Amino acid sequence: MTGIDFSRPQRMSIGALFIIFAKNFRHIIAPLASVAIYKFFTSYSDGEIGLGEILLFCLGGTVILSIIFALASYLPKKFYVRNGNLIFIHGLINHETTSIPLDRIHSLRTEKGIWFRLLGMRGIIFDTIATRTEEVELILDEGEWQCLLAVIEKEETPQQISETVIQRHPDRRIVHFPTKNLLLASLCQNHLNGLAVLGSILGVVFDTLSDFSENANNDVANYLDANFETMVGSPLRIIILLGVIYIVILMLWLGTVILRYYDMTMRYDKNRLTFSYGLLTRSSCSFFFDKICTIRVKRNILERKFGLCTLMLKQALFASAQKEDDNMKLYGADSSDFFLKWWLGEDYSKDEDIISARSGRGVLIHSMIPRLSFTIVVGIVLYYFQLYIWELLPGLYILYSLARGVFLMQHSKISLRDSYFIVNTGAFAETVNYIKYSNLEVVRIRRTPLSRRFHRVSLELSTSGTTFYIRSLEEAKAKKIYEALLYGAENLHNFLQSSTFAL
Amino acid sequence: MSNNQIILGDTKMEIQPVEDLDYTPVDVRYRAVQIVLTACLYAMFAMLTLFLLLLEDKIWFVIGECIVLVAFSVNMIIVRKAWMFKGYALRENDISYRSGIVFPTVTTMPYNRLQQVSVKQNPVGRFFKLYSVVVVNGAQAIYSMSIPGLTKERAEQIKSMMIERMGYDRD
Repeated sequence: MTGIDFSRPQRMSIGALFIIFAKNFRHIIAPLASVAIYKFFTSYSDGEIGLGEILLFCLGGTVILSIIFALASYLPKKFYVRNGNLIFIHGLINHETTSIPLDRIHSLRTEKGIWFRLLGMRGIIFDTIATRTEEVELILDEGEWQCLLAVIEKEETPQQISETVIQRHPDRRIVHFPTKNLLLASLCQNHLNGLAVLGSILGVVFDTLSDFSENANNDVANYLDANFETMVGSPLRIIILLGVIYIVILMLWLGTVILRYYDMTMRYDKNRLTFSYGLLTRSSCSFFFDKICTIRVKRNILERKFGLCTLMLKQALFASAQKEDDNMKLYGADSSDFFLKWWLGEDYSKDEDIISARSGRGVLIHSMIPRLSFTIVVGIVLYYFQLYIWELLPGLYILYSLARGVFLMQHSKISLRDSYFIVNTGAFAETVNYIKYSNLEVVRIRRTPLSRRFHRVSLELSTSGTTFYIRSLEEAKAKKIYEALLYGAENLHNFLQSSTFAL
Repeated sequence: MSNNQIILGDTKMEIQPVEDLDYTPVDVRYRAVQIVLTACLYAMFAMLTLFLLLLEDKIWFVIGECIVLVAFSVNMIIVRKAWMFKGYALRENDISYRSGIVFPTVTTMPYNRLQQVSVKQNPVGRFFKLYSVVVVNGAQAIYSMSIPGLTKERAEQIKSMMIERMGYDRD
């Protein structure tokens, strides 16, 4: 260890320049070699350019370009640690100084490829919980790395360390989710979505089969030609055919659900939920109490009728770990109360709305505009080709869109309670999102050119894993909610009763 | 809990909701930056429209250039209004940024949710000696906010204040 304190802006060691050069060389050589090979085949035969000259051009060009890019990347990069912040200066054209408090560094990723090992260096990428940011990458020698690590560890707060340590509690309990409920709930899902997904799978299967035997394909085509009128001669037969296809697809959908979620088991204690599931491949995922940012409960008409729900646990998506497995979907009996009590507290249901706002007709209009535009275009095209009977389809689509828009408008709502707030969304299915105030990252209020006339605005809220757009809210209420969300739970009552806030 | 407005370089402190804050306008030179950037963009459009000369019917070239010219004139009028509306306001616990003419928007980020703060300068900004402060949080959407048109001193002042307050929890 060299005992560097990183208090002054410094460049990475000279070894970093070699590594950046090597990286650039690797990236540049391929395209330049392609150009050289092309040049070789077009000019060599004419005796214009020799092989040696082409190789010289290729290597020389790559080396010169690599040196230029390496210097352009290396020279402006400086870093230092001051007042508990890692400060990173970078960018040749866009000059930028980025400050990251050391206690916000979520993880350090290191890279040690062949060049790193040869030069005794290490590439370090600093990750915060920011989902989409430019990575801050430093290339340091072993001594610098150890010193920097010591500085970072010194600055880390005990709270962060405790979050990363998996605590094992003696009172862990196990819950089994019955497969019968899972099947019932999966049958209650939006079948149109399932049909679209599985229809595409069938399409791929059909495509593969058609490749398998061209003769068989021709036989089927000949058979269909000969018997088409008999097969689909009456509307009743078409309906039966569609019914059979639907049942096949439904079976495939059930198979997919069973393969993925069969024998779901959950172990839990006050800090963590761990799920394990799957028929052929057992998967597992853990949710820490602190990392969950939203609990989403969806109930459509069928689910409500059978006492079922689809519950989704959403947790923060980090830049280094963005994948769908970060979220968990639970089909089955309505267990939302259990999860909400675990996350929001035993008395969560006793909380009453402190302030709430419901969306207006703007939601309906907003959802209709793109669908209406699409339908008009389709209608014009069908009219142009004189397919008058098919004009029925855009008409039906408009009716569907209208119904969807009306449901969207009816469901869209935001309610603030003592310790959490609720965002209601969803079209045909009602979706209730439970969010804690402490999970809120940013709030935005947006007006449209019509806001002056109708006094309706939109609120946009984002947590580390979810985003909500609540459109067409009464302006006065939206302003109050906007401010109340920023004040947080503890001060909500005081704030709303405060006389200093006059609308 | 209080969330008073902080006016940099002034001792004035007021309790106001986000909508009624005194937004500090961005530097007057930023208007020039926007004019330069808009002019460059439209110059590019005008150059692209030159490709219409390749068509047999030259009238499309004239129409294309006229559209670009009208759009440029309208944009130049909007640039001034957009600059006037752009502004930021700092409170004890959060920072708000106001922008947009057609769709006016106010975005507020609490300091304790911020992850990174950067001071940035692009080549046009370098010519006008202007900087922008970019703040990044952990949100899935609206994950960053850029406040343009700041002098170096003001950008550093805002950055220091935010970094200092990033560690604070809500009272």
